[in-house]
Formats: sequence, structure tokens, C-alpha cells
Amino acid sequence: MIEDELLKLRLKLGRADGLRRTYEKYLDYLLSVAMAFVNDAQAAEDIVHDVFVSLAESAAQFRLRGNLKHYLATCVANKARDRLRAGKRHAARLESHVTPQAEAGPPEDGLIYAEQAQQIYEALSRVPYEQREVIALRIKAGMKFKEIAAQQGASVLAVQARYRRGMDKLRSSLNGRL
Amino acid sequence: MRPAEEIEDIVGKADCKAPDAMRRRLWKDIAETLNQSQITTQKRGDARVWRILMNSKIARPAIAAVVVVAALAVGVETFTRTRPDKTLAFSAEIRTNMALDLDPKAAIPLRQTRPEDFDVTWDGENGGTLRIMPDSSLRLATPSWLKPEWNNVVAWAHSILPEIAESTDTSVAARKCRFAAILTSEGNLAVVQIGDYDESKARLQWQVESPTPPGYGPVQVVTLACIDPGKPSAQPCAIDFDTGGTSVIPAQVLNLPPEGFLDWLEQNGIDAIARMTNDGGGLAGVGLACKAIAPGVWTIIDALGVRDVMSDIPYQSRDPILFEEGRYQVVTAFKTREGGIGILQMRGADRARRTTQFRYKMVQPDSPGATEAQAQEEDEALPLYVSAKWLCDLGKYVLIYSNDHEDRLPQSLAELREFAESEENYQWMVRDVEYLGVGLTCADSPSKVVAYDRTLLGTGKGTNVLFLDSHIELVTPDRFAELGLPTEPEDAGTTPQK
Repeated sequence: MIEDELLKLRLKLGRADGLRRTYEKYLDYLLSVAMAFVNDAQAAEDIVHDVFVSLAESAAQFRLRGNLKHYLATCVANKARDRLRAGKRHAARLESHVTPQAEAGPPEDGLIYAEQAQQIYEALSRVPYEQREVIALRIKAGMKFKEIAAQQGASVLAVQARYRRGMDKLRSSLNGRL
Repeated sequence: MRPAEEIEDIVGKADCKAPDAMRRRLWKDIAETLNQSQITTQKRGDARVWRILMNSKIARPAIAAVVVVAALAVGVETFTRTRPDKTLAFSAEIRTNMALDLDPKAAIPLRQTRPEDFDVTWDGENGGTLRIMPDSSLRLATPSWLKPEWNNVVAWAHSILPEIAESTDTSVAARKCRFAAILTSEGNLAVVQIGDYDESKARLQWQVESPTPPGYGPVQVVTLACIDPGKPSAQPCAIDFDTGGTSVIPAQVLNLPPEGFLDWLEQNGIDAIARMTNDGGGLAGVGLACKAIAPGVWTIIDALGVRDVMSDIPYQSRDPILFEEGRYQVVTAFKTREGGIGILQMRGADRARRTTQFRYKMVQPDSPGATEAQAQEEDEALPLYVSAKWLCDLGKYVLIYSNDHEDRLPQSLAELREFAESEENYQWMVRDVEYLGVGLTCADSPSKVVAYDRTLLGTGKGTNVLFLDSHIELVTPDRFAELGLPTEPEDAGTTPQK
């Protein structure tokens, strides 16, 4: 907690070491969040890359009063949604059911995750995107429904309903698989 | 089907890990973007350095001397000290097959290469390359960014000192990177920037640092009497931050016209005087450059950070640094006329006694002892800051709750659980906070105590208290009884009288 306050201060001061430490601390976490959104190692890497590049571009204007971890997770969610809406080549993969991520790049340079994690990401990719976003932000980022509602521009009740429906789909999808 | 909690747990544990190659590749792009975004700032900074340089007392004669020497003796490299403050920053032109010693003690141009004395040479390879002496104790490393900012390179060099010590690089081609961090023959850390260059010569600027990152000197707590021309005080009312000395201002000086008064202050090395105005008590700087940073950063901003902050402040502030009643006091970074840098924070102002109290600590370039002292101090002060911040959050939760419950404060902290930013935050409230808001409403006196941190009671330095008007105050033990807080450490944890 206190380290994040320090990181926010360093980012506000435009210190490169602040960005570097934020990157080191949250890279794996943000990749996990991005994977929950897109189930595609390359797309997840691109999204997280874009988030940090945006942060670097706006380093001089960085102002944040809230939670740094939630802020970064929200940035990932926004980038993932942008990709989906823009209909770029990656967008096709967003709703894809099967993506053999481990084969996406050279083994020494590809994202590392366990087989169980891969099954989770695949199951999540079968959940409609809005519901998946709520699940990822709630469980992976630890955000409150109120915060997610603000991020999605929806009511808290709508977000809670999306979460319930998404979890039901996820449970049935994972039933007997893990 | 599995219960939802189990699914949540499984999803929460589905983690990824980026391999080292990916980490490096991604960071390279990000760092380059960061540097691109800082080019504008860099240009402004360069202009400012040039302006400061031109305004400094030593720079103009030095530049004139350089021009004369260069005109008279072609081939003799020149050496200039570029910054008027305490930073050891230099500039020189280096030519092919000539050598330069970067250490300040031996800051003289070398006409002949003597391997034991010099640090760097220049040659025409790759359009111009800076080299250190091969097979020597010198070490060189270069940042991966294309156009980094000077201050960032200094911070970066300090942060990777162990890596520099193990670096096997011996040269840097100017077309690839304009910066290098060099561990010199005397064990100093030199950050070198290559300016204009061609195959035969290059203009170098460098800053010599102790390999020990700058730290703080000891924290000084000072109480000064506020200046009153009508009632000259025998108590000190002025301070010289560079020496730490406080001064009494003689009555006849107080009655001088403003220009004469200011001259006397400057001649006596005074950096600030204590004043009491309608806005409150505080300090007025004398040629002091100041920048308010934020409340609560006293323990978390490191000396390098303060130096970075002050490097962007070219003007001398005329705004007083005031004690703000009922607030967590802002930390202010300052720079004296002599170039001393530090931070200060007001602690109190007594209108009746006409005194003001503050604490300050100076950045010291090489103070391993002080760094240890600072670490110890930070260990002690960090809980105070964290507790104040979270009490501040608690104040917000209480406000939100009361807004939804007809101005009534919650009966217990458990009612605030849904507002807590995190489970850790809530557990802290339950574990460390003594809540006294039962039965209070927003209509009660704003000075009513709502909660305090009971874990700090036993420290003897006071505790943070949340009042009904949502402000946080670090209350010293002498006020515990007045506010109804337990006065004995063993009482901590029991609910005091309201």
C-alpha cells in the first residue's frame, strides 16, 4: 500500500524509476488480467505494452488519487475493450474459443502459465465480454462493484447481475474440467 | 457444480508470468517512449541550465577564459565547472588520443596520457566513441534509452551501481547513446553526457557523484520567535539552513528600511525568518527557492527525489511557508542561496507566545551514517504516515455513511466494512483504531474525537486523531487528557471517556 503511494508520487514527479518499478511490480499481474479479457498471449502482451506506453507518454501529466492497482487494471480493461471495438485483427481472437497460446511465440519469449490457468482463460473466453470484464475486474483486480459500475458506465445492480450470470456460465463451463 | 467461492478462488489464482526476454523487450519500448515524452522537458531544462550558467558569477569569466585559451592554444582541451551550486558538474572538450580525468580532485586537462591518471579518451571509431581505459578498475554502463533526461540518468546510475561494477563495456558510440555512467579511477560515480561531437573531438558534460546515493542529514526540530519590530526578542528568529545556526536579529536591524534589512539578512547567511501574520505563523524565505510537495511525504521522498524536485525550481519564492491549523502539514522542498537542498515541515505556531516550530533535514551528498539514521527515522515515522492516511480514509467512510444515515455516525466500525478500500484496510481499522463516534452526529462539535490510532499511544510521540470535521492531527501526549485519550500506554485498547 505504502509502496504504491510512493510509486504514485514518483510517477507524478515524472521519475523514470517510478515507471520502471511500477512495470516490474505489476507486469505479471496485468498480463494475468489481460489474459482473462482476451485469452490470447500475444494480444495480452500488446494490451499491457500499450498501457505502459500510454503511461510513459503521459508521465508528465500523471495524476491519480485512487488505487494504483485498480487504475492499471482499469487501463487494461479499457485497452482490451478498445481492441474489441476497433475490430482490429486481434478482435477476432477476443471471442475465440480455442487459442493455443503456448505455441504463439518462441518458447523462451512466450507468456508462462499453468495448464489450469489456460483452462480458466478458455472458459472465461466463452463468457460474454461484458460479464467477463466484470468477473476479471472483480476477482483478478479486486475492485468493488461500485467501481466497476463507474468504469462500465452501468448501474451497480446491472454490474452485479452481469457478475452472477457470468459466474453461472463459468461454473457450468468449468464443471468437471478442473 | 463447484461453489461460486471455489470458482472465484480458482480464477483469482490463474496467473501468468512474463519471461525475462519479454520483460526486457517490452521495457525497451516503454523506456524509449518515456524518453521521447521527456524531450520537451529536456529542452526546457537545457535552456534553464544555460540561463543559470550565464547568470552565475564564475561562468562568464570561465567561458571568457576558455575562449581566450582555445584561441591561443589550439589543441589544449578546456575545462569548465558548469554549475554554481554544490553539485560537482563540469564540462570539457576532449580530442582524439587525449585523455581526461573525471574526478573533481584532479580536474585538470591532461596533455599526455598517463594510464593511472585518466578516465576517458575519445576516438573516431563509429563516428566518435568515448572509451575508458581497458583492463583498468574503471567501469562503464550506458542506459538503454535513446535520449534520457539528465536527472533520470543520475537516478538510474545510482539504482544500478552493482551492475555498473560488473559491467564489461569499455566504450560507448555517441551515435548510439549520449550518456554513460562511469565508476572512475577514484571510485566516484561520474555521469557523462556527450554533447556536440565529431570524429576528432567531443564536448563532454559530466557530474561526479559519490557512489553512496545522497542521503539526509539528521532531522532538526527548531522553534523560532516570530519577528516583531515593536518588541525585539532575545530568542532566535532567523535560521541559516546550510549551517543549522539560528540567530537573534538586533533591534536596530529590525528598524532598518526593507532593503537594508534584507542586505543584513543576506550578509549574515540567513535563509529564513519566522513571522506571524493574519494568516498564521510560519517562515519567510530569504532568497530561498521553495516548492510545496505534498503532506505525508516526509518519510517517503528520498534525497535524490528532493534534488530532482529542486532542479526544476529556478525562482526564489516570496510565499511564506505557513503552519496550517488542523491540517496534515505540507512538506516543502527548498534550496538555499548557497545551493543547500532540504525539506521542511511546519509543526506548530503559537500565536500567544509568537513562536513557530518546524522540522527540517538537509540533503547530504555523501552521508552513509546519515542514511542509516534516516532509515531508522523512517522506520519510526512510516507508521505515523500510514496511520494518518488510513485514518483520513476512515474519515471519508464516516462522512459517506452519515450522509446516508441522517447525519448519524456508525455504531461500530463493522458498519463501514463495505466502504473499506481493501480487506487489509478494514482489518487495520478493526485492529488498530479506537472508535469513539458512537452516538455522535454531524451536528456535534467539529472538535469531537471520532477515532484515533491506539497502537501509536505507547510510542511516546503522540498519535493520529480523526476529528468530527474529518481532519487528522498528530496529537502529542500532553493533549491526550484534554481529548479524553488514555494517558498511560497500558490503557491503550480500552475505550476512554468521551
